[in-house]
Amino acid sequence: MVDALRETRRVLAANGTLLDLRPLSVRCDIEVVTPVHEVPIGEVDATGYMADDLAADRAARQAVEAGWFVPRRETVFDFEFYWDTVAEMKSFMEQSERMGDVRPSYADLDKAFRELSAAAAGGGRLRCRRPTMLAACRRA
Amino acid sequence: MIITGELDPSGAEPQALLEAADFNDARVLEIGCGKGRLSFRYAKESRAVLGVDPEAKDLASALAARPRHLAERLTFVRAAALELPFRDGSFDIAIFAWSL
Repeated sequence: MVDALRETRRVLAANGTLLDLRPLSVRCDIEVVTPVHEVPIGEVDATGYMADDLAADRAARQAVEAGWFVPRRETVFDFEFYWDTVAEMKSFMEQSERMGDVRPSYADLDKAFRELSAAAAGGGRLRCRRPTMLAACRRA
Repeated sequence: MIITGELDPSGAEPQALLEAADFNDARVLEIGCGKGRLSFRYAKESRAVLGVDPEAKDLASALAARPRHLAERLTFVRAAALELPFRDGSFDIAIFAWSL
């Protein structure tokens, strides 16, 4: 990774900007969102890439210590995923490399989703908000 | 992978990028662009965007999905981050989007 940062520095112009955008490795709530409610009903384990994230953090630190880049700012925002059904969410999770086990079971999530959606006149959607960080550095 | 559901409908991700750097008239390199999901969302704000990825299949998907109005400013090239086939100082902004 640090070699990729060295190569990136090479192709950046003087005072160019490096942007490192990555989802954080955390457990994220699964919520039902209706016109009147935002109710957590479960969670998804999004820590599967923790080792890669730590390695990326190390590489970024090394690149700064080597004097290639100067940190400018770091922000965290929510990257939102929405699904219309639990089946749709399940299909996404099963194909996702970064999001893994869901709790409680999909059957229990489906039951909770249907109950909350039925109680809301406008129906509901499923949402997962994943904290995502953006670090900006200036090419030194 | 077939994407199901809706990703980042509020546009928080491109908004964060645009707040972190001046994309106006910038030459942008996106390393690990995949199928171009993010590239499509900020490309119109910059002078030119070049997405690179080692996966030919993903790049083919990116090219097929590229909106017509972005065709002149958004291109994709197969390359790996360790050996970028560009001259020194070619870009104003480099983005690792979920790829470092």
